[in-house]
Amino acid sequence: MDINDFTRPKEGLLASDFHLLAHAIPHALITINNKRQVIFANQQAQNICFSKASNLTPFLPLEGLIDPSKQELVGMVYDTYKFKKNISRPFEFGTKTYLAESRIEIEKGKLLGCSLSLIDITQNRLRDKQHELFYQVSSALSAATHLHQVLKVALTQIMQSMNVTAANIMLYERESGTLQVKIDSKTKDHTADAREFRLGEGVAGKCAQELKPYSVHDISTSSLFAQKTDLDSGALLAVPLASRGRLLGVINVSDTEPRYFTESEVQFLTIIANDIAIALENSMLYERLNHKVKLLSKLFWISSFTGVKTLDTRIQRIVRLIAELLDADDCCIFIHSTVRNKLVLRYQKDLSSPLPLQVSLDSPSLSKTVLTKQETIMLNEPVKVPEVTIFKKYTKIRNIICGPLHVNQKPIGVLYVINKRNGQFDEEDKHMLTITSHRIGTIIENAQLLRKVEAEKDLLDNIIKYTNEGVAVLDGRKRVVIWNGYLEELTGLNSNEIVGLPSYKILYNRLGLKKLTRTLYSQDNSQNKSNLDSPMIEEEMRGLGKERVWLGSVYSHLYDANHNVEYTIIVFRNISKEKEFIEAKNEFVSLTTHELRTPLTAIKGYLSMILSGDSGKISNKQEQYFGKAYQATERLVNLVEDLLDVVRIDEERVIINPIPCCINNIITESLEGYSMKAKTKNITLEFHSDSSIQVMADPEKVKHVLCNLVDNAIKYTKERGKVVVTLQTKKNDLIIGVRDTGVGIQTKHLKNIFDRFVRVPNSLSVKAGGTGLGLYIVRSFVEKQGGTIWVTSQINKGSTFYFSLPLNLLPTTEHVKTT
Amino acid sequence: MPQPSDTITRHRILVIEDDPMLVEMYKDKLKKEGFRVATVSDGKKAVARVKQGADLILLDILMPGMNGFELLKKIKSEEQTKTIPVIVLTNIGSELSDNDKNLALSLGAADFMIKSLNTPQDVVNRIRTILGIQPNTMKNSTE
Repeated sequence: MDINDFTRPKEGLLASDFHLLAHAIPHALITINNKRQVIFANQQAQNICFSKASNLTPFLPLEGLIDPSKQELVGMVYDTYKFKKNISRPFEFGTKTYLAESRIEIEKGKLLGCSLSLIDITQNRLRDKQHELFYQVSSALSAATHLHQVLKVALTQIMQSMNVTAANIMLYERESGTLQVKIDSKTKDHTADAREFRLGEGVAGKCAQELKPYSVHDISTSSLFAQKTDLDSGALLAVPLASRGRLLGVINVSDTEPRYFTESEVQFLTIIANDIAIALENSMLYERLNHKVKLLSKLFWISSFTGVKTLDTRIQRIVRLIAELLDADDCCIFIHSTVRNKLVLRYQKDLSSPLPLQVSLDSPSLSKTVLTKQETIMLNEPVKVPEVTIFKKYTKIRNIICGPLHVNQKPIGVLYVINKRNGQFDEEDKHMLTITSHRIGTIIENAQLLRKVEAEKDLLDNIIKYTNEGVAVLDGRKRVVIWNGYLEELTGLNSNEIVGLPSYKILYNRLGLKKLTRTLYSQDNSQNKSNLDSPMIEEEMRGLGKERVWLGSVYSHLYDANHNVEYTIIVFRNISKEKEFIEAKNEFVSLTTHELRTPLTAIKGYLSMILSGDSGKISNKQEQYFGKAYQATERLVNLVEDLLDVVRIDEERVIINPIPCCINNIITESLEGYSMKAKTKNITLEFHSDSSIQVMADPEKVKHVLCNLVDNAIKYTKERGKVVVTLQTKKNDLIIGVRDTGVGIQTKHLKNIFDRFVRVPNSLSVKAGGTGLGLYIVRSFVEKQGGTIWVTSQINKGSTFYFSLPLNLLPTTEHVKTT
Repeated sequence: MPQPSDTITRHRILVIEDDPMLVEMYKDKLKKEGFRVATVSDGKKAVARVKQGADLILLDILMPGMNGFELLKKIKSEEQTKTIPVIVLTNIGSELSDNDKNLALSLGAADFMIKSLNTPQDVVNRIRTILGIQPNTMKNSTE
């Protein structure tokens, strides 16, 4: 069984890679958390240990899953927790024998959990039974998890079974190509001395080279005695330790007296050597696997945490683990910086040969190749590769594996593993690195994303919190989601108290913002899609007490995919200052206009008296001059009246008293005042009266509107023109039209003609005079009475101003209904 | 040209107005139109003066001493004076509102006129209408 057999996993996390690995190894492997719940069990574990009925889902308690006949395992795991140490012992289940090992996972003194593994050692046992003699050897050997244990058991058995004075076991070190004595019967503590042999050197060297037993009856006379051997004189027998033709080592036995070893002695030692070789291989494989499983499970633990703050520590630990896992001197991680197209060194294990802190990706390098190709590159002769420039500080660089860290094709960084301790990196190492780098890429990306998201959220929170306007956000059900710091201060309502409450409870009940609440709750969501035109709602807030606070609020909606309102954002502005200013301005205007009225009264009064001859007869010239002065005064008087009306409109002090009234009379009265004016310009005034029509309106205001429109019509109509007043009922409204044959209004001016201080420039306007307030006042008066006003016009053909008034639908005059 | 009428009993008009220039103007015009004119420029003094009797009162609103509306209330509440017609003739009301006219009429004023919008002739015409006097000269004051 070899790790190379593993199927290469696709993209994915280490968790799944770990699972793949774990399922592929021949052992049973169970991971248990500190609550004694199973968080992972590989296929073998499920087959061997679990009840047939048990259905594996994570976090089931161990004892529930384990087959009742195998509850001893549970006891063993609990002992592991209890004594906080690893336990290993053989178990026999039916015809099978397993070596069970329970290994504790502790991080920073905190118990994380436990890994339980079972290794099938039945084969070893069976073979041992065939060779009764070797039973103890094999049993001891197979139970031995450490190489040294195997050697020790083997040596003891050899010394007991053979009639020899000494024995030793040498192991072949592949890297150095030498045989090294690992255990020797002559040294009491069985520790190996430093003696080593090259292949072909001495008896053991010959035996190892040719992979066959080699014996010398008297070493002192042998030609092989030439150099250092472990005997001065006597007989020596060397038997190779080999598995599947691969040299593992040599067993040497010796007698102090020269003699010939019998065929059966050679055969016996060969058989024992076979067994030892298997045990050795098993133990080495076991140790290697065990080591890797241990490292992998550690990686698994480390990478299951997702916190941002621990990222650096985790990267460091991962790097060290990988170095250990791949048995390398050094390992490091470079993180890709998108801003500058560089790799930045994040962590290096071995700082004795420091790497550059930054590697540019603009010029060719190994990192660039790895990132571009997105595959792991293994170089066992890196000196020949010109791209490997960043390692120039390494005095001796033997080999490198470089793996890309990426998530969904996006480069995250590069992982380097440098200098395998003994020999070369192999495909297994490469595969291991590929697997782990996927996982590391993911955890780095996750941590970075998390950090970015948190930073962005913090920024947004702060922007909302400290923005110098009130910001409130409501969810789709109009509950308060955000209530920023400015609003807290303005309203005295703490965000903590009100987040989650229905907004009307706050806006209406507590703050008295009736208009805003009404608009928010009555809003037809299908409308107002364009958030731009939401008008500012101004109203006084029921505030903290002393001061009057006026709030201006504008809101907009965020829609979800189904076009439903997902969020509503309301921006509040404290407009108290503006309000104060407007009030002050209006007060100023009204005071000054009132002050203007009195002197104007005197001027106008005296002029009128002069003109009517109260002060005696005046000449024609005087009459002409005083007449002009009088007209100018009239204009001034009208301007003052208009200004007063505008202030009244601004302050919402226009009072409308609608009563049922006959429109006929109002129109006739209004037109009477203009008959002279029309006559002087030779303009026909026309009105097709209909005395049956009654409207609900304020006669004074309607008169004001009509006078204004008729006055304009005459003003802008040339001599011999025509001004016609028309009536038309439509549904519940009366539409009154004032049509002229005047100069007309350009289309571009039509839309704002009813705004304040708008005077449409045309050839007559200069001559006609006017304040630009008339139509604004007219519109306000019409709208106040529940009507609308609009205009159609054609250049040089004339204009028609229309306004509507609600019809009086009740036949009786006895009803005065005010809103 | 209007002439003072000797044939008809000359009507007494009481002008309650604090602006000297306007007092003079209305006084001149009314005299010219054949009325007897008395003037008073203080709200409080006006209370006493009203009791001496008049055929019609021209009443300003904003005055020292007493507000014209109060004075109007007083005039209309006293048996002795309540039958005297009062024309509220003013340039400013109690507040910035166009409700002054309604207020004046509801308090019993015969009419409400804005000074700057009406010439003295307009005022005279109105007085004549209220007192039911035929003008000496037919003259349409409408401009």
